[in-house]
Amino acid sequence: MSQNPDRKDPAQSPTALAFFGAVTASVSHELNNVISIVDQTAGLLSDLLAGPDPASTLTAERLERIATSISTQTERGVTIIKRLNTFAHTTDEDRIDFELNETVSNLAELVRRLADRRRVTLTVESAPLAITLSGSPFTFQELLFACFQALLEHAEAGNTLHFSVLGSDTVPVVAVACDRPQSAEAMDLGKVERLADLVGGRFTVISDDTHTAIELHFS
Amino acid sequence: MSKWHALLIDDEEELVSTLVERLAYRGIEARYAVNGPQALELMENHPFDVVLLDLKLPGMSGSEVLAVIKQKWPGVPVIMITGHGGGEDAPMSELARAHDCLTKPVSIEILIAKMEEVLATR
Repeated sequence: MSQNPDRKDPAQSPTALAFFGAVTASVSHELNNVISIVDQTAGLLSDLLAGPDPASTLTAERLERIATSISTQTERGVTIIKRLNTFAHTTDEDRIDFELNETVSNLAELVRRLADRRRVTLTVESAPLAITLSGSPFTFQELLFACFQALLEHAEAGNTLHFSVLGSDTVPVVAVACDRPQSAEAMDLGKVERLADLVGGRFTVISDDTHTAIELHFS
Repeated sequence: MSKWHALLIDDEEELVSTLVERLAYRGIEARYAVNGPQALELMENHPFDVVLLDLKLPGMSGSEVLAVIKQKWPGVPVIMITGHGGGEDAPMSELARAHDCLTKPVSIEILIAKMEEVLATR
């Protein structure tokens, strides 16, 4: 992936900041839910202890359920923070080797909530082998997000958006597809075009009666 | 005998089910729904005195649910609940249509106090 040398700091453009904001806002909302659940679960435990007969209400089974809930939410929070941390560190270097499957998968999980809110299912398919790209992982994710947004804008409840890593180390391809037909002309692809150019890749839109896919090719 | 009946609407089922249980300990009968259509169906079949509504719901949004409630049950106060209390998360135009607004995480005491407050001004 050969990046356009004209742009010195891709992570600081207004669109890049908007992208960063969209991802972190979505994630912080989810973290807030995790904290809220732990807070209320702890509150419930206090309620049970303060009740008239804690010995009969706080059974081993009940305590086990409460412990499981806290443990599940803690695990959920840790996973979210790990993903967010990985994403945040993609702004560290303008040019670095990064693994395509991991990067696509991490971004897909971070934006899943945006698809969920539209009742659109999001799926991810990795390539069988690791594929390394060289360039800005942040700008690459911004490009993926632009494809995701272009397709999500036209998706309806019940549709599926699919990220897939195809190709090989020598010919890496990432496809973002939706099971809904949409002509390229009707989609807002200006950002996709600009970012594809910036990362030294190219894109094609493939549309038939049932699907629309934006394929990103890197060399 | 319950003080009043509340409907809690949030897609985080574990959160609302726990809140329902905690409200019950305080003499408040509550039910919950995890999406808009489920909430509206409950409202058709049960009289509620107050509704707590998360702005960000999957599918039918909190704003859309609020619009239906305001139209079909104009006397039922709605307290919106938001993630961060501002910005895109909770546009002022949306909050203005609700009776009040709370920001997550919210304590049970504040939640009850807010419900009492909106019910007193009904």
